[in-house]
Amino acid sequence: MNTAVKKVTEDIEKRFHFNTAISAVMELVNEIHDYIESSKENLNLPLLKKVFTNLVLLLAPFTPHIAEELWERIGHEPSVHEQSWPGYDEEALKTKTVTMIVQVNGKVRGRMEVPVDMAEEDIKEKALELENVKNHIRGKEILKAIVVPNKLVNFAVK
Amino acid sequence: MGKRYNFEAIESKWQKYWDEKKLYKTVERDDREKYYVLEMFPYPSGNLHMGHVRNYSIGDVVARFKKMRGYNVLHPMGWDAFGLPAENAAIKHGTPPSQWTWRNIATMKEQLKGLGLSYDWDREIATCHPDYYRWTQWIFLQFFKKGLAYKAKSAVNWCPSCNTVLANEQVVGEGWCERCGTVVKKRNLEQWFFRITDYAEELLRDLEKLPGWPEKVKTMQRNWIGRSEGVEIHFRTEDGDPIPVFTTRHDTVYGATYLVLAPEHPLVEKLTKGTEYEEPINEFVDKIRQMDYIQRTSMELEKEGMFTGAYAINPLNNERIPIWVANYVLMEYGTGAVMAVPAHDQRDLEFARKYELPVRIVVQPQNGEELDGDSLKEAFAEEGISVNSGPISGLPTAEAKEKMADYIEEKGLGERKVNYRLKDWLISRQRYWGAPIPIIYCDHCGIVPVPEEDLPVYLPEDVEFKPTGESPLKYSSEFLNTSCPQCGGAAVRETDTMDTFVCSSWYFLRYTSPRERDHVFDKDKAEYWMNVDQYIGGVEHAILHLMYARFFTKVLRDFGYVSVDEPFQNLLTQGMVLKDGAKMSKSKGNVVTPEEIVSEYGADTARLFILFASPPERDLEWSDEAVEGCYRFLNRVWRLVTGYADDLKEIGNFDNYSLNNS
Ligand SMILES: [Zn+2]
Ligand SMILES: [Zn+2]
Repeated sequence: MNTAVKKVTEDIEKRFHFNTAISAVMELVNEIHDYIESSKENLNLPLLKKVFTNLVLLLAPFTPHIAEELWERIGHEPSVHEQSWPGYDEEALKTKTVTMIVQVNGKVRGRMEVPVDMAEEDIKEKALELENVKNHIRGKEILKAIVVPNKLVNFAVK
Repeated sequence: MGKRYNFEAIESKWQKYWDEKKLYKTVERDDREKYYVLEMFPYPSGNLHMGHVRNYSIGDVVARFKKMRGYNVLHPMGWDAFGLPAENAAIKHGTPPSQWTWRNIATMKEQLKGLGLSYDWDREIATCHPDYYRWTQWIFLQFFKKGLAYKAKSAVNWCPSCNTVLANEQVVGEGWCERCGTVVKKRNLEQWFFRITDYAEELLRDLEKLPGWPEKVKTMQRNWIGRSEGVEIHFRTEDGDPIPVFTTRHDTVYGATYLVLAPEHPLVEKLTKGTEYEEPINEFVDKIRQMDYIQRTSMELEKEGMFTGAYAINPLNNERIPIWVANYVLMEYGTGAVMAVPAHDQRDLEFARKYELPVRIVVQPQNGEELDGDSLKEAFAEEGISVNSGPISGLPTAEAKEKMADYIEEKGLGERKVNYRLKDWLISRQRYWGAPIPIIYCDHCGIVPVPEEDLPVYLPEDVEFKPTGESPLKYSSEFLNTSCPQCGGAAVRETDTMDTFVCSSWYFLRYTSPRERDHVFDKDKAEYWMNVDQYIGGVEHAILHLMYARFFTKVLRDFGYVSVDEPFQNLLTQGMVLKDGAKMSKSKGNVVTPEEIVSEYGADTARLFILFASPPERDLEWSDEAVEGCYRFLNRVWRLVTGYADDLKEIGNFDNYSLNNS
């Protein structure tokens, strides 16, 4: 599951490779099928629900109607299109990361993935590299920067 | 095989639900980062084709995905609704263009909704709606006030069949009208232009700010702008009339053995008037002017020319050289006059050999080889060492160029210049179904802009079309006759309408506040949404639409209406939809309509196939088997999930249930 979510997410987000993203979903359906076949006697229903839930979320951008119908049928409130995209556990990858919000004068101007507990100076430096943040700071003076660890960084500018 | 899932019932049920709940309505909010995804809006031809389905499915996945990733997503749709097909339909069927267009919009909107696309329909715009084109007219007025819109007489591409002026880009193939295929002619007319050349440098430079654009598109834009650095040298006739000549090879000026004027060059008439050359030259010029643009710029063109009987003086060595007229020199490029250096330019060499004009070597290769003008087979266009060239003799080309440019400037014989291939944008169209140009002509006051408070200048909708296709505006006295806003006297309106590319150069800004009544758009909202994070469309718009939209954005920035320099941060140009290896087209009989696929398999299958068959930038080959395969996959998912639906419904949602053992 984890692998499929990661693959679909990255294929869409980084490369717009919808074809390989869909392949990964198809692969996932095969795996779910095999799992059900192999444990027919004692199916873990809560697990199956979670798996189906994620499968439907992954399908939602591509095939919005059938996803919405299945979402309702497995006991969720519509709309599937207002749900958050499933997360995936990055544990397999080197370090844990968090998404930090970057604000300029209190307004959200960007988000960035950073390692958990990143140093304040590094956080500021990385935030200032975001294109949209640059756009909102250009020609202005940074008065101060407030960092809430693992959550947000706010630049006060004038 | 189990039962097939009932896609008809499911798709119409949820489309209705989304519509009623306004699920895709978007408002500005500061708690989320914004994301603006936009597909190029369609021309309302009346029917959606597979290319549209592909374009919009890609955009829809991006929009839905970004929304689920926590962004505040703007995903609007509208209609590029002015243009010629509506007039052709009017001539053919007698339906007014407006009626034809609005009917098509209604049909296509239903088709789009049938695909389950997540548009915020409350933001729908149509460029033919007076609430839209009044602002297109308003923008024209701002351009006019700032001197960015002007009127000039110019040789234009004229389609005798469509009865209209065409932009260079609308002349295709071997000089055919893009719309009807007729061979395009040249004509001199008073036309409105936008001064896009004022922005040539920035349009070129800022391509570097667009890492999210395909290299291919940026290269096409660079070539279209066509910047070159050189020197304008002041040649003159024996009578002292100036003939400025632009060249990037000013190091070869001592090798100029004749001078060529474009047939349209104003001096041609003056030089030959009353001489024995007048008649043959006039005939020759008329013949060339009948030729089309593409032919004349082709390398394969058979070079033809004629001596004018006059001579020019080369200001560098005071040499007297003959002045010719030739088909391969264009008025549109440079100054319309070329110093011919046959030893070092292939086209000049071919011409010189044909008409037995002298060939003089002024650059020798660095490898010691010694070229000879009389026996030269191919022009030596590379760099080398200057010879027989006065102050620069003995210098290698790069140095020779620098020194010659300095020398020419010092002596006042010319000056360094940057030349662009890009020309000002001809926006006048002698058509009816477009945004009227808001100008009034008064015998007393001349050209008078329509006051802003009088906008829009309405397009009369109750008009009759002549079979010639001539604009009915010229015959509508109600439209034509007005009073002068300055002196109150009788006056007439401009009957030209604007190139539809004007309308599509700012629509992405209007989406940010589509119902704004008092301004072109709400500045704060444009500030919030701009620029477009992801723009998606066909590569056929790589030059014109994208260049014009970039130009408008920069002008509106300079007027203080937007703060971004560029409208589209990232660009995706999707490939074509092919069947049997060729682009789907009625004439080839290889068309699959979205309607047949949607009614047979459902919108979800259509979308899935089109997204699955190929990465978005590549061409996509239609395959009935692959459509079938996608349909089987969705049925499989359906059976798998619904098979346990009743069991799962009862189970609570464990948000933190560990997945690691799956
Ligand atoms: Zn035509
Ligand atoms: Zn007047």
